[in-house]
Amino acid sequence: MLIVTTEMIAGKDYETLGLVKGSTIQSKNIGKDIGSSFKTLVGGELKSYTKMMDEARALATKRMVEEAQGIGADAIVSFRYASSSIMAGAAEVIAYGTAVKLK
Amino acid sequence: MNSEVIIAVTVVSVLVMMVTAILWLHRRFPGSFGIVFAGGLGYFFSQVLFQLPLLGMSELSVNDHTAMTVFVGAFSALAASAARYLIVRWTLSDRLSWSGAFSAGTGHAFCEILFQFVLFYMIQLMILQVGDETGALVTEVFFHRSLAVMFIDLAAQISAVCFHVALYLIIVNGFAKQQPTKHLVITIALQLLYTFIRYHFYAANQDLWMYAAAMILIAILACIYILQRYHAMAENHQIELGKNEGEKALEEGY
Repeated sequence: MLIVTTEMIAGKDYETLGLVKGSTIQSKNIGKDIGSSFKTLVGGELKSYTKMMDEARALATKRMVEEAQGIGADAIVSFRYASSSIMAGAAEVIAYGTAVKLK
Repeated sequence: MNSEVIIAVTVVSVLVMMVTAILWLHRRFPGSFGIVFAGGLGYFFSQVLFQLPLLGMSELSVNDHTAMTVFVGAFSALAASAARYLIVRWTLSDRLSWSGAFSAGTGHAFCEILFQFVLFYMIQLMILQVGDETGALVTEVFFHRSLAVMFIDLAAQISAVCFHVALYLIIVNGFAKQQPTKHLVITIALQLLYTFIRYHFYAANQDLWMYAAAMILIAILACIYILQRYHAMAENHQIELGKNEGEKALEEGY
């Protein structure tokens, strides 16, 4: 599955199928939350949260791709991520784009 | 060495062993810390916050041991089993595993040890230190126990660890077989029987040797079931907690 952030795919003509999206809300366990709270005392990268967001983006992308495959798409254009905080220590990631079928 | 020192050493040893066991679990099964904590919370909410106040409000006479045993057993079984069911559903249902059930059962049992053994004997020690007439009277009436009783208490708590792990494995097995309600009912029945045995031999009749024998038998049966589930789940690669969906997606290159 080809995924691009641009609106066009160079040298390709396609038929637009519609919006596809995937989302997830992830949190770390209480131990990681406590550990990260201590880390904020001295600053630096919160590696457990970085990993959490990497996993969240990967899962949201996977779900979006599965939705696109379900409607017979070959590629996704105008791909974007969006994220928001749902509650303390939990974040939502949405992956969305336009599913297209190459001609 | 007097009894106070033995009690203090035993209580500290139990605390050290619990912390060591939790750290070992976390090292052996990464991610188990939160599940141990959830299991402990399950005990705290179902038994400490929910059951004890209701027992206090009950108008049952302390002397009416049969009614008390049935009441305590039924309520304990319902509350604890419901907590187990909810914790497995909320924390483990997407990655059912032997280590998950083991961690949750350990958390439940350790929290019980903390409230029923460690805190109990720490209070006893503090009252023993008071030393005045009131302290002596309170100690004599409510807390004074022989060291043999303390070690039987400890053996019962160790037996409880095996029992609670086994009950969590039954619930996990229920979710794996898509029959969670049936297995929930089984755990309620087992917990009812367990609580009945504890109250019948211990609180009601003070038959300590029968109580100790029953606890050892329960521990042996629970260990056999735990090992049987270990081998069964090992065949399905369900020993480790396993990766969550996000970790799997990341590995797949998304």
